[in-house]
Amino acid sequence: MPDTLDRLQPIFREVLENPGLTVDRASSARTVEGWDSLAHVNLIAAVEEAFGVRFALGELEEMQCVGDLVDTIARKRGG
Amino acid sequence: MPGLRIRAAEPRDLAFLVTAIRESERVPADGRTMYEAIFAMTTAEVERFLGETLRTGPADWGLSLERFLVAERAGTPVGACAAWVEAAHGVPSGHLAAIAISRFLGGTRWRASGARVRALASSAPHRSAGALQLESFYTAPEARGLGVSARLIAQAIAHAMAGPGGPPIAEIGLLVENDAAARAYAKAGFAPAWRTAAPNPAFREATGSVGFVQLRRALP
Repeated sequence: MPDTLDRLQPIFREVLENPGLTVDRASSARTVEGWDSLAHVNLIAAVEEAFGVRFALGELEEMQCVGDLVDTIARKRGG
Repeated sequence: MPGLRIRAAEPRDLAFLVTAIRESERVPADGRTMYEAIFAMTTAEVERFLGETLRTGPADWGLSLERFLVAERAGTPVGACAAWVEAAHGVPSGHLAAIAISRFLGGTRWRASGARVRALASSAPHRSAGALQLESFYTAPEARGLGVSARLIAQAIAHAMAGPGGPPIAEIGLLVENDAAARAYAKAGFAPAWRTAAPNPAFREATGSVGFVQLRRALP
């Protein structure tokens, strides 16, 4: 079973329309081209749908990078 | 200005701040707010969104109660502005704003406003991470011409510089058409640093504005 980071890869590629993109735990809006405010809304919506979670605004405020996103998903899914 | 006091906003200021933000967000086309022009909110929705977000929204952007300063005279609020350090915890304030607005509107209405949102995004300045952001300036009609904005700016900068590692610069973004406000900010040391390169037709149609100017000044 793919881990959370693996499952995020196709979501980032599709939302950011970049088939060659690979994100890692350190990737963030500052380092990934095209990750603007509109893409951010779409990313969060796509991640929530894919993982069946709903992020609180306070959680989103603390997610600085993909690693934070991975950890928050794990926490919300009881992992 | 005698009798003018600048203080942190408190819950009792909520109604005043909703008015202040609405007034500061009016667009040239028809006097509606940016929320109505871009996101197709009704006036009642704008008031509800601002009230809810000021109370419960993310702290790291300009629509949080704790980011506002209020100018009062004889106990009555006569001015306000928001001040925060951009991306203090790593997340750009624009991302938080987009999330909060999309959550308020719901997915269908958010997507329906997509073209106008993209027009806004392509017209707006990039906020520098770590820079002090000053926004949502408002002075009540009875207090105009008395230097309220200058006092708010001075207090916001003093507050930001009070601790170690204060921000190196301050930025103000405003619509190009707000000449009077730009002149007031120039007196406080702000100079144009960026301007929307090419007016976006969709943004102009929705707001009547050709875009934004971003003012900047170094901090001591």
